[in-house]
Amino acid sequence: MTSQGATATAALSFEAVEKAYGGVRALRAATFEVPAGSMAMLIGPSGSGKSTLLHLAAGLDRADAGRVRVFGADLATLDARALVALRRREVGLIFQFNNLLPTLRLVENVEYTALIRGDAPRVARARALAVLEELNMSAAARRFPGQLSGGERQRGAIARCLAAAPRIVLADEPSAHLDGENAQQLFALLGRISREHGTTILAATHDLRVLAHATARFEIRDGHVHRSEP
Amino acid sequence: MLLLRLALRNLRRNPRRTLLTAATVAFGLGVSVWLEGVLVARTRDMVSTVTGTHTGHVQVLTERYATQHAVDALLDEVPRELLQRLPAGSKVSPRAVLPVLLTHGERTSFAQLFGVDPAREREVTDLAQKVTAGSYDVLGEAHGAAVVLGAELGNALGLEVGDTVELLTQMPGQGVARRELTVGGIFAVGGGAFERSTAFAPLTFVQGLLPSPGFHEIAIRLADVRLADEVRAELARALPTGTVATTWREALPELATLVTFNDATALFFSRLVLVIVLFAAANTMWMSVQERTFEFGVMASIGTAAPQVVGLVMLEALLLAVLSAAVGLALGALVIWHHQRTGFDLRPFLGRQSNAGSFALDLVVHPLFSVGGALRSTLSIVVVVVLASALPAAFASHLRPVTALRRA
Repeated sequence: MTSQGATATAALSFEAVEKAYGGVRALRAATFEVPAGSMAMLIGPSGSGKSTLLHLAAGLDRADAGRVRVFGADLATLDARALVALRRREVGLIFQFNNLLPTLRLVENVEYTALIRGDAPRVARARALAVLEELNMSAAARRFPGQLSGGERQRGAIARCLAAAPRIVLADEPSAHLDGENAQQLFALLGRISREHGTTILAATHDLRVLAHATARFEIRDGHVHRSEP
Repeated sequence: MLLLRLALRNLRRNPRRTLLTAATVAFGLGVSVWLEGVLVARTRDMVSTVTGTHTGHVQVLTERYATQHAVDALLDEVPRELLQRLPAGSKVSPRAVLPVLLTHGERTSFAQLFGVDPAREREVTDLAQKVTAGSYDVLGEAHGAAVVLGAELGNALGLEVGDTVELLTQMPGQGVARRELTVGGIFAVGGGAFERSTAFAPLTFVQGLLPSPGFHEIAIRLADVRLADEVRAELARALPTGTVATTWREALPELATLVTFNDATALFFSRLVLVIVLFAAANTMWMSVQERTFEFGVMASIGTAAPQVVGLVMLEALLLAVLSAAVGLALGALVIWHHQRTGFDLRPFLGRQSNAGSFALDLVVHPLFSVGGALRSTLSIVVVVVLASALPAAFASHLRPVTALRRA
């Protein structure tokens, strides 16, 4: 699957990727690779193109030029159905807020991902409960998102990701609405998942306090992406 | 099950809006079911009043009598083919009909005089039950020259039971025939032209005034009026040349028009209700989908496919439709049940009297609950609500995830 230009160990690779919105160039010849199994962080100021980059990596949007590969698969060559399959099985997404469907209980939110992935209802429920147990969230399983704290909601979003057992998790400012302690706990959890499950994490953040958790760092500025030393 | 729970809870997110839409759907269906019940009952009453009082469901007559009302266009006997082809439970009553002038003292009225055999006529019409003075049985041959008159005709002539009335009539090419008849009974059907201009006499008496003994028409009552068209078609194939079969629709075209108008009214209002429900449901579903744009973005980003989004939105609409239709159906059935017991009085809307052709109608309707009609209305409304969600569902499923996520 690995094509020319991307290393065999890259979970995600961008190759001269361009993306513009209404004349504003969000990404300019963005080229970088996220090693498989790494806990990578993408730092940059607000409006620097972090969300755009993550949306392209998740196949939610198409690049104007260049190549985006996820585990070697060129997203430009995938049709809508294949992109849905990619998001079900390969890529997990965590947003800044409102990650969980508000009318489903926490356990149902987690179960939902397993269900749409094709698991049988009983299997999906068992998997959801197991993931919540792993994240020490069993006590909150039957609560609705509106009854959870901000930190619990973000951990719930991670649980939902894990239910689908993705190979890469893309997190867009996951600690943006959390206080310092909750932010540290959240990134510590993401780091643990990366280590224990071998899951690649790419988290966009402008919170420099959490950088200590990173095994790889990328900086985005004016649409250009540079690797920086952790 | 999770999808079902999700859909149900989504409906409860904005309970006021959901309740208002559900109330619109329920009220629309309730009105639709009730209105159909009233109109079906009114049609049934009109048809049964007219066919039961006079015409029967099917008539057999000569083609010449059907088109020209020629008094010498007679059937010699009840056609053998007729009796062979009629469905079980059918009853027949041969009649002779004469236009006559009735005179009592200084007063004179034109009338249609029907010669009938009361025993057979009782099996075809309910007129015997409408006799308010005297007796219908005087039309039996043993009673001689007796007549049963409509109440308004009797009033116009100043006649009471026991009085004598003079009859004048004329056959083509013959002189004027004059007879005396004794008033043996008065019938009342609530007024109308039929009561003002109709009299009944023994069949043999009227036949005695004809150029030859025979019948002008044979009235037939079927086990079910809905068989009328089918029987007419069957008879049309079997009857001898020159003899035709007609249904009550052709015998009383004005009544047929009223029935058609009734049916059209029911159809119009049920369609109107559907259109109102369509707009109400479409509005609700649009608002619901628009409010959840970000959520649909999240769903798409975690791998929910477009058909699954369509399925969720349409399932919400289906649940809304089924739940509110159940309430509407119960509401309609309840009001019909109430009006079946008390009657629904149309007089405030239609005045004191209503006619179906020549016949006065009862204006207090006892609606019918038509299971087939109610199910049709329910199904239509459910389909309309689900269809109303099709466009919002398509919108939700075609949202670009990245666009939807920007609407946080």
